[in-house]
Amino acid sequence: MPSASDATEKSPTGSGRTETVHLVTSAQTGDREAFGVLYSRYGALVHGVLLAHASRDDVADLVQDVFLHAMARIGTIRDPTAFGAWISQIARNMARMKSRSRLRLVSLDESIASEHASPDAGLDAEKVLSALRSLPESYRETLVLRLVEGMSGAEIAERTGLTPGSVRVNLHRGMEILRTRLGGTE
Amino acid sequence: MNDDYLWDPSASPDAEIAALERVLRPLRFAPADVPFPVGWRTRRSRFISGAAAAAVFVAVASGLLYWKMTQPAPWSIENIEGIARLSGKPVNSESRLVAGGTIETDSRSAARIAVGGIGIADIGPSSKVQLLRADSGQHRLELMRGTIYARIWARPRFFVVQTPSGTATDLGCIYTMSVDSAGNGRLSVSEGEVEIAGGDVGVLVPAGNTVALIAGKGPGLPYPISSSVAFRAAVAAADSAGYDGEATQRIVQLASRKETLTLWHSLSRADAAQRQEIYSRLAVLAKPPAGVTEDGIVALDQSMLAAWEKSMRGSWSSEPGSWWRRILFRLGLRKPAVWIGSAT
Repeated sequence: MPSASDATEKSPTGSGRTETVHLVTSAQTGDREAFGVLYSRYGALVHGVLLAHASRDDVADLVQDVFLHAMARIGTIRDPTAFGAWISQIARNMARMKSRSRLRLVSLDESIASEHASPDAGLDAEKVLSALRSLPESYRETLVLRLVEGMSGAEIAERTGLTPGSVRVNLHRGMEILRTRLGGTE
Repeated sequence: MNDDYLWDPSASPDAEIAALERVLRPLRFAPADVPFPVGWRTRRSRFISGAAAAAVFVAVASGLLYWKMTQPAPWSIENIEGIARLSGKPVNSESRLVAGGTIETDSRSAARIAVGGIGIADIGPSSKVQLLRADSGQHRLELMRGTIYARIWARPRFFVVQTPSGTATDLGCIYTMSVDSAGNGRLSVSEGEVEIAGGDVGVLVPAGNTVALIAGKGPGLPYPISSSVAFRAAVAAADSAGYDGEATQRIVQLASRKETLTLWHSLSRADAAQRQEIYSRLAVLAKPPAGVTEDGIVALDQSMLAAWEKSMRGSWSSEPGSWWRRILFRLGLRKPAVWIGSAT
């Protein structure tokens, strides 16, 4: 099974979309291997979306839950090209459900993170992640996919179904806000 | 801020963004850390495997039950056509063949016997068959006249049919055997092997071959059912007139690779002079194995004959290659090449 990074790096937008359609169609007929490739291709996307919404400790389990859920319901997809948007929405919903169940803990995490997000503080993953999570949702997810998952703007557009223009705007504005929240490192 | 790098990580790096990437890299998705939900797949696979195994079990059990239910009771008799007679009485659903009992059909009737629990024997028109023995040691029928088509799945040598011109011992097979009122007949094997012995001659007939049964002499030369008319005529002439004359020369001339069975059997029946001719032809068609010499064959050296036979035996049988065809044959769902009445 190819790694997610392989899949993301080697899939140009057009052929990647065509391949996704083929994979989804195959997976709908019960082809497990095809679903495995989808997992490789979209694992990073799901991971990124979850990381943008859920506690870091829950993300690994949630990735599996999302794909299990998707596997069980993949037959309901009418438009295979929308697989990325569809599974992203599953990821958001699951992340929210999980967050509600541990609302207090998440709030505490974020409050602690905010306290430490000062201009003088050195960068660490938790601080940056907390700052990312404080961004508006559209910016948040796009920036996590870019900064955490290492996806290019074109890949984010292809995976999420957003237009390249929207991705570019999200990245730019999101980065501006992030910079501010991290204390204006510019 | 370098927007190009923000869009394309392969562009010239922006120091600030690159620093954020470095910090966040440990959080990146790693398939090895978050593997595809194998547990679910395993559970699902196990479930499917279990379900499949259960389905196979049910199918097999149902098949066996159906097969068992549809199998005739041991030694039961049913009319295939017309009304056969069992020891002089019309065959009906209650009829059972016992040792000493005789089944007789006229020109318009045929019957089927359940040969104990080991097979089925169809009795063709104008036939007379007697059950001589039915015990744990052997099931033995006598074909007095007419035709019998047997499908047997017992251990070798358990089922025997004797005729005035020879006794056929089943070696796990399907075959047709016929005999006329004069005691002449024919054995044709569709599957497996049948050992036919009569007089002082014994012949092992593999699937796809046939042999004449000659009253007072026993079996003639076996040959492939697919042999040409000319070759059949040559064998018939040799069986009738003897194996030392012109007919055997004709056999040697006409024999092809598939008829090495006939040539090999004719070796022990011809005289020494003709054995040399047979050897020469046979050696061309099937190279003798190491240690088998012309002198030895002409002298009927038994070990050499056996060695040569062994090297050729695999090519003598035309048994269906696939296991499912064999099963269909055995169950009688697929008709053999030779059917009742067509063997002679």
